[in-house]
Amino acid sequence: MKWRRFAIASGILAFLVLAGWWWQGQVRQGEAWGLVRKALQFQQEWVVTGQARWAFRDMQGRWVERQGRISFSGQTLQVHGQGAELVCHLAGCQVVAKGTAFLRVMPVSVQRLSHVPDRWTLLRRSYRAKLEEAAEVAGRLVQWVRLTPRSQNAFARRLAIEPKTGMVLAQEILDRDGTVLSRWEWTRVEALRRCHFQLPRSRDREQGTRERQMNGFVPVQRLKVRCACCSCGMTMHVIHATDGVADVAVYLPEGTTKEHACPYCRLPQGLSRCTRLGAMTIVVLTRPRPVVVIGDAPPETLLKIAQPFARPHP
Amino acid sequence: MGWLCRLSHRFLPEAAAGVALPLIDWWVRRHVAHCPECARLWRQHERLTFWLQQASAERVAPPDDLWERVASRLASRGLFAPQPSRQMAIIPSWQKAMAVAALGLVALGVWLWWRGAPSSPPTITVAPPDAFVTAVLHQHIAVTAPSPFNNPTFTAGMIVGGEAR
Repeated sequence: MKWRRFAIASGILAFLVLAGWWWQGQVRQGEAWGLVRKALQFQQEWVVTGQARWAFRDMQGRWVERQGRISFSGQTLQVHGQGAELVCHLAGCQVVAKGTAFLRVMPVSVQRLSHVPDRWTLLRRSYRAKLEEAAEVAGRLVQWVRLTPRSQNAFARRLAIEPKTGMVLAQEILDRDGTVLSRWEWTRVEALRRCHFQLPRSRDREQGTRERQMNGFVPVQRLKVRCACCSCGMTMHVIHATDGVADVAVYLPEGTTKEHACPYCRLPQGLSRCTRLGAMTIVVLTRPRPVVVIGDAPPETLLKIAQPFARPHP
Repeated sequence: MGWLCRLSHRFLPEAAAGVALPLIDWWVRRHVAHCPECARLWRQHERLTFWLQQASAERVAPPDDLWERVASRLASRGLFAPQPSRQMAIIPSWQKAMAVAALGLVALGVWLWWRGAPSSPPTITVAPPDAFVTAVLHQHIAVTAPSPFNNPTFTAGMIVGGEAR
């Protein structure tokens, strides 16, 4: 009889311990999601400027570290890195880059697709959140949160979120085996600017079934841009998709290969290829139709996204 | 008697009957070859198995109408005569159902594992970006500008970092 009572008491105790452990896990996950939501809202509203340090693995797997200053005036973004400079006018997706190459691209049409879930819904659907250690970044107390993708189509991320404001002060993108591919960190926050990048929502219905789902990425905007550097007048269709955190854009150039001074008009030729800059992956398919897919996702995901676009239309 | 001997005694009947797993069978035979005590037990077991087989071969088979005669006598006394064939049929069907369920579970597990396993990466040449790709990469900053976790500063910083090399 004694043994029976002991067994029942042990069972109840084990159940209580398990329930407590599960409950604690749920509470911590809720806290993690709360922080991610706060970070999402902050990043949608504000753009941070100041001193930053970024590091990434190059194609040979070497770890490259750089420091620079990022300033923002109106809608012009300036990045001054060690020996390099980049100036972007981001109004209406117009970009004028002065780095190693000069580029001027003008938007012809910009559509923010309707009938797509918002980022928060996509994020909850695509990732799992987990609270990690607390640390200090740029003199501020932050909480690291790990976002693990539910599928193999994306990379995992670690976000250093300031609990008070929701500001993301550091970000790491990790490979499937846990290797850090890219790291971004603010070393000094100088100012906060209102973010004006929200594009007007189009009333047009989505076109084509193949744009609806691209390996877990959902298209959110469609653009048509034109080269304004030279007289070639080459246009490019862009489909921008996201899984809530990572972004992927499909670039479909329309035109013929021309040798102008502008690099934008030199369509890719030769073999299909892949380039990596940390987690930023660029897949180029040349035949039968040139397609460039850029995103912070594994190369095989981008290749799967690119292949249907490279096929000629029926 | 060491623990190895105790372990070999556990598997000895299976190995002697030739139904043990190949690895266990190999290990037991190897142990018996080195241990005189276990070898003696092995020989005893072999003799016993031989006698049992001989005895079963010499056993007289019952007449074919034995069960019918027993059943008719039980019925004449008013006793219920169970149908052994039906009872026997239930047990195998249970076992079959369990085996099918277990196989189904294994198949489900294999399917889930196969579904979750990363597919082999497609072959594509790794190459440095050309002028066109660099230009499109710059444009990517503007395209992903509304993305909260790909703040334009992040993408631009990466590109500048790459160019600075």
